[in-house]
Amino acid sequence: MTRSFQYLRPDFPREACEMKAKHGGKAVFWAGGTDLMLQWRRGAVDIDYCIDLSGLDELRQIRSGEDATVIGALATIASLQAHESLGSDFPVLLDMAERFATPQIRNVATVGGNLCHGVPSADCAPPLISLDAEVRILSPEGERTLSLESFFVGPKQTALADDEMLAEISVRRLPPRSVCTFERMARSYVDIALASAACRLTIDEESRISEARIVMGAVAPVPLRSTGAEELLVGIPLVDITEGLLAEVGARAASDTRPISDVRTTAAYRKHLSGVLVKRAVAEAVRRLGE
Amino acid sequence: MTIEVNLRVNGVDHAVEIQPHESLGRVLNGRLGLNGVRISCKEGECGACTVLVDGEAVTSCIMLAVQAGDRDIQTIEGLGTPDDLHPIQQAFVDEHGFQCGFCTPGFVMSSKALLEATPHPDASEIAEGLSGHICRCGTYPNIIRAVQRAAEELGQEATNE
Repeated sequence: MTRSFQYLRPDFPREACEMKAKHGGKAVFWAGGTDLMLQWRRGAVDIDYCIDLSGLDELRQIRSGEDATVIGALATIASLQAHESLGSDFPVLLDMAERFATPQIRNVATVGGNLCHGVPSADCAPPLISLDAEVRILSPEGERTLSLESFFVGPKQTALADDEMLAEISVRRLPPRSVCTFERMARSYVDIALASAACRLTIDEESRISEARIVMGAVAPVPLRSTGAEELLVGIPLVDITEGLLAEVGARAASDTRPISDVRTTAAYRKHLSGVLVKRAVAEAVRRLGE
Repeated sequence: MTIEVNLRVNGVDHAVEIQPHESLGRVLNGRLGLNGVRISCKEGECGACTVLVDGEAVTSCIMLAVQAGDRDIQTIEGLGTPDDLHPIQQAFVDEHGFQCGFCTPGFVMSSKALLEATPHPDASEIAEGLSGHICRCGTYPNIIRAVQRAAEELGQEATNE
């Protein structure tokens, strides 16, 4: 192979943004590289400058605070599993991490890399969106915050400008009586999701659903929230959630999807599957809330 | 552009000039002659190239070599010798945890990481821990028995120490 690229290694996040600003569209941030290496070898991305983020230790941390947990963009998937309190505060993230690719990939792949790759099947996206996660974005001039839901713009497209970097993902502590679940279907352990679904339900003191989030992966150009399906659940007492209502919620969510056919499966199957996974995710959340 | 990195492999430092895009697996195998690092799928799917970096299993075929600079890299070559196999290697032999042997170094390295984190795994924990490996000869049941046997051996060693 004769192609290669220039290598840059910033010591600080701001320096990384400045390098990106200087070199433009053919410079990439390289985190774990588990997606990027394959894309580059296939010729799917042009890279003149590789900005290796390995030196930015501060973005590798996971900090649990009183009100929120902040996950550095460079935290590996394995570090989610290893963290002392993340799994008890947000069990769904542990659940997701355990089903993310392989142990070797989880040791290297980062949460930020999974999100910035911008693919609709990214496993980190549905659970984090259902938790109302926000992202902190740095640029040479400053920073901004936006919801993770609005971070995704199209297939492999995010809200990041050329000189911007995803620094952190923050998740507020959930209200009491909340449960979040994640369902994922793939051909094998290693394969990316054919479809996935996350559900977060919060109930009030009378055990009525006060908040619902339903987010699907791999069934639209971006990870997709179904507010229509959420509305079917809000205000309903837990005891009144019937098999019929679950089916209706699944069908409503599936009707919002705009899947594609590709090498892995057909659009029709993805649409069907999204309904099944949403139904399962909601049923599991209801079951746990009832415990 | 070439860059110089220090690769500390099995306790020995190697100063190597590499190109930025080169994978760790390619440098270990091609440059340092460690042919126990089996480059196969080149996509991080099959696990044959698995080595340990700071004790964690990684697929070296898709990791930039430069990112492993100044870190502790362990390959199968650093584990045992033909006359003095590591207990995990011996257990793979005793349980016939391979047929052609191509995938074996990767399985052994992941088994090492697994047993360090979980000294007494049950069969499903072993299957999960080795889920990033493919054995095309299909010796999975033997591999699981080999890891269980290695766990017993290593537990025994630890007790005797």
